[in-house]
Amino acid sequence: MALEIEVIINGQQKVLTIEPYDLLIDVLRREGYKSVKRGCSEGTCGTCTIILNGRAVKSCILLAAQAHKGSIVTVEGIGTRDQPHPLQQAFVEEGAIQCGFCIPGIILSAKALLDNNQSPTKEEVKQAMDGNLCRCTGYSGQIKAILSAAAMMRGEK
Amino acid sequence: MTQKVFEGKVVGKSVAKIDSLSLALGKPLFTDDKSFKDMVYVKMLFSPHAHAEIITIDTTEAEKVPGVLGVLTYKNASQVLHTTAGQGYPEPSVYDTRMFNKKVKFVGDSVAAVAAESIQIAEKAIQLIKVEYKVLEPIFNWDEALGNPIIIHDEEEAGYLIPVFYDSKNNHVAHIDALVGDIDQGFKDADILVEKIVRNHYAQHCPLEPHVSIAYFDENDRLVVRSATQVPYHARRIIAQVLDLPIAKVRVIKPRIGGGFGSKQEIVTDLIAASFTLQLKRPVKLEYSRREEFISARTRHPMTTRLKAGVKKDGSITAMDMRVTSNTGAYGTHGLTVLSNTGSKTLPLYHCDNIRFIGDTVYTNLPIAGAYRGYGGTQAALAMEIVMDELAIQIGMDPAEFRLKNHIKPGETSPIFKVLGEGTEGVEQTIDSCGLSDCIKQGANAIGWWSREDHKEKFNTETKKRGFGLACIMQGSSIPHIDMAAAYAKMNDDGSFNLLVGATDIGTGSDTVLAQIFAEVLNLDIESDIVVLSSDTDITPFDKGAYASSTTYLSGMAVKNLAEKIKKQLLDYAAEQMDLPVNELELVGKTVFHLKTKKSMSFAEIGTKALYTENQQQIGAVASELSKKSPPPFCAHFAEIEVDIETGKVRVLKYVAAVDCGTPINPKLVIGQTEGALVNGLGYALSEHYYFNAQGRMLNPSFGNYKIMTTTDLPEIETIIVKTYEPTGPFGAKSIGEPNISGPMPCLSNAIYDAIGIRITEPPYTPDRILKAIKDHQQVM
Amino acid sequence: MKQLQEFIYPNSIEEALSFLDESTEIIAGGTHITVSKNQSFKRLVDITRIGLNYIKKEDHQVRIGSTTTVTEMIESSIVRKIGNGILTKACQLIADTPLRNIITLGGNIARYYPWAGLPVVLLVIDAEIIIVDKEGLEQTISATKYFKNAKVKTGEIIKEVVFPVQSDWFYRYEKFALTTVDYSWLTMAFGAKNEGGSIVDPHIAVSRITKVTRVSEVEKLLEGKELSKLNINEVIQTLRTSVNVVSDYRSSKEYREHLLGILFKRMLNEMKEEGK
Repeated sequence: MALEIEVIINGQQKVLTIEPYDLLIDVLRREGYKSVKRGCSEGTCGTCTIILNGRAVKSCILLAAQAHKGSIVTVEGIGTRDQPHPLQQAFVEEGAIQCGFCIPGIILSAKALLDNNQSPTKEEVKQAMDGNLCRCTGYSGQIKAILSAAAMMRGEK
Repeated sequence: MTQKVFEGKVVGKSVAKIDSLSLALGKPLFTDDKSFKDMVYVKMLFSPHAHAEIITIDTTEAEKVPGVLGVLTYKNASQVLHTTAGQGYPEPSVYDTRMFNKKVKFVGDSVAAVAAESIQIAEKAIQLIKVEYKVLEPIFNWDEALGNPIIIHDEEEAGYLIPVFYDSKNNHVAHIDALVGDIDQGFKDADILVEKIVRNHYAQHCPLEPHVSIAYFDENDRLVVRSATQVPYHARRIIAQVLDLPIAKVRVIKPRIGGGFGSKQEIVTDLIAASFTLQLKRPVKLEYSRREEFISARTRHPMTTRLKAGVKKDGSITAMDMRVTSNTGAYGTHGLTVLSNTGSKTLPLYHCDNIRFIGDTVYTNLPIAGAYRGYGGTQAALAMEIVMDELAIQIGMDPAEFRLKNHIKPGETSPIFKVLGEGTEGVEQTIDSCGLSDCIKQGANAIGWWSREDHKEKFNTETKKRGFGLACIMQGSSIPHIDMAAAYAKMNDDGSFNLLVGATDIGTGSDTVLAQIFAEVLNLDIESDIVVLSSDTDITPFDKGAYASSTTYLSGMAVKNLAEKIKKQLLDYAAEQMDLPVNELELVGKTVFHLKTKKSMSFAEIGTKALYTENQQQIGAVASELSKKSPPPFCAHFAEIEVDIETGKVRVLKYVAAVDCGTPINPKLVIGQTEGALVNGLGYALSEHYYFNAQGRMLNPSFGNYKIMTTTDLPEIETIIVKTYEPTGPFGAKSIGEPNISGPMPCLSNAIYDAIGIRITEPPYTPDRILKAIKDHQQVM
Repeated sequence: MKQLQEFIYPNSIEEALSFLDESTEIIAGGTHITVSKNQSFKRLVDITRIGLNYIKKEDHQVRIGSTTTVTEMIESSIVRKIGNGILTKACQLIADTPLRNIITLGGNIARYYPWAGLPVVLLVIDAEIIIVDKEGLEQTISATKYFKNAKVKTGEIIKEVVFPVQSDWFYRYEKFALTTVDYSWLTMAFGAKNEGGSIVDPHIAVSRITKVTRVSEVEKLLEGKELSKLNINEVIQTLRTSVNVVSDYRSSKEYREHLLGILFKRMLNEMKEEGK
């Protein structure tokens, strides 16, 4: 039986008609948020990571219904080509992006970290990224990029 | 010896990867990011048995499900024998595969496919297909496959297009026998002999984007396949071949690809999606789930490698005898060429006059092995580097000194280059660039190699033992005289260029590297002057695709040839327009400049005039390259580890990779390739593993249970780039994509030996296996 | 999950209880519900909006609401005092960051998932689980009893867990796994008082290698023993024989038994060291 959920996606208020069994990833992709990737469908790889109510979560193991009255951020909503988010800029500058399939999820995990912790240590960055697999880079460029974005956001760069 | 290095204006600089901002912004760039109206969804039925005959298959109930549009089985799908290996034609892989078979040969073999209006309907229908199997005895142990009375492939017509050995009656996919020098004399001359048998395990590439294809008809009723592929041209050829279509009726588009590592050098999902499109005349999508990737896509060839070597007390190696049994699983894709690479990518690394290589590839009823970064080199390096370590230790020489003495140097050759190629004989070559000595020296300093005994003593406890290990690796760059790459570019009104390359960027950054090479010749800005498009078989010129470490070296050379052709056109055009002798003109910035008169003509002027007003022509060209050599990149890996001798847990504390890829066209991308490969290699050595039950079914087909490394598993990693200059490569460049995946497995084995005095020859080095080795060792002592 | 027809958002425990029946399942984080197969429930009741998300400090105890997430527990300075930090440590070793952001305390104990990290902690801390039954009545069940046989039944909701705070106790927690974000190979916890160099009231709990359980044979053996005179080999031998260790494809029964002994030996040695 279809139901309606109210959500804010990237700042826009939306009312979505969904089935109770619809996964959040499927609803988001259907609504055009293609940055939300499907890599494992079991909550492990992290390519479907979004921010829900300020926290990074994996949208492939959440029902869309669980997001009712929630606020969602996808990577489409945090920056533009002219004004990329400091994380997007730092990932480009550090060469932290190879195939890029994991990147939207990784950037959002990083954003959730930096929104709550302006000056994370390297260890805290690693901890915050532990749910996002990347098979191309070996992660070190990404860790550097996140620390660099944190410095940018603190106004140090 | 100081070697020449190249410092360019754009080459050698870490310019931002040209697609990286779009990727960071989350743009819909991947295969499945484009929406199609009326899409049809496909789900596969895979064999639950390792070896079985299909007696009956009844799809009636499945077809009755509302929303089901079609079912494919061996009865109605194309029965053209082919190989799924995306290699050049004629492929050096055996034609032993059909889309669906009456006899299934591993748990995960394709039995049927259902097309439906939704994925849920397809899933439901799959469960209603009734299959009656006659279960056959399987073969799982590859060391027992040769000559086994159980015959896995009984199709009469199977065979190679090229004249090489094949004996399916004995499960024998490939055989190679190569000899240089006098092996018996070599062993007689030795003071010390060392022989090790190593066995590597099943593992998978794990690109985060699974195999996915969307097939549809365009407005002109031509078949278009949008595919996550590393080999668009080979995919087009194989689709045409198996579905009996003219090549001109097929277009393969490669969008951005979410990683490949060899897995997408295979035609896995294209044929089924395309078959349904031909049938239904609608867009059809087939995307593997992660579970399906694990059980049914490709893996690394597990092998048993026996290496016997002899050494004199002065450290010179007198003989090397390598015997390999390679398990290709149920089908022979890449079975011959991975086998030949085990020898050809390891044996030339050290001086030795007497070498024998005997290799056999066999069928088993286990998952299909295919191309995987390292491509045999990874497997053989395990044996080679453990044996080299042991030789050094036995004659009392430091393992680093031993390698410094023995490794191949610039100006030298190895007899192996000629006798072992890609499945057939190889190509003689002299090493023009080799920075391995510097890699070893700088890597040793970075890890603290020379003070390791003091360091170990300082940190060792009753239960935790430190150890240091070293491994040296080589690979190649392209397949000489076989694979071709081409590129095309045209000039626009404003002096910018479209650069169209067949080279297939699967996330490596090759579009950027090729743009840098193009820009270097023509003084262009990467960001504003070059628009790169890669791999659309209707639009871009041919390229073999992303494999064999050939994109930077081979496709890069094609782009350099192209840029030079265009440079000549620019000079000729400007000479004619300015009425000046062409040999007095040069490119200065984005102009053609005449030093004596200070006259110049900008690229924008040339672009506009050539298109609209004066001596009108399209400035542009196509160029290609066929390599004559396969210059190896080299690397030296060092690790510091700690073994908990009570639990068996191995912790990697620090890892250093020093790499020689000739000129690093883009150093940050070189670091990315290096570290991505070595972290994959660390996972392969420590935690990645296929567990099978007694019936040959994989027990851990998920990222939850097949453990690849995440951030919190990383040791401290240091990458050192040792610059050299490869005269046959573009601006001195060689490849870097593959070798670093092969270091960790032997490097950690050597470090474990250094820590606890036990040679571990069967990875992965999981705690239970290490503990068992410790206990077995104690019993022997 | 196509059978699912309804998703309910109650506002209170009472309202939530009124929806519970045989064809209804409770959802909090939902990480397991979405991936598990063969489900038959037709209705899901979301209990994350009924006021069960809290961490309350009281005298000598802390109450944690069942929909409190693992991340919220990690971030709480109050939680850090429970079991001298082992609850926090156990939480940090659950899954990965985005999953910890949705996995809840209640969800981790509602089913006996073999990989769950928190049950052994509840067992050694003597936590109590407050369950609200169909009639809205609260029952308090000790963790020991709960994990023995008192699984939450249809129609009931886990409201909260009460953790006593005993700062003078010695506690240890260990999750042994292949990689940092891996299902556990062996999970164990230990808690005891050190009174004048002797072990008092030892609590040992293990999971993953067997159904989550306390190991009373070893607890009895340790009770009152002087740490300095402890025959550790005898203790770990008893531990290995008392626990019915099962093998799985990752590692053999023999290895897990060995590991169990080694990890416990290390805990006892640390207790010795700490007592000095």
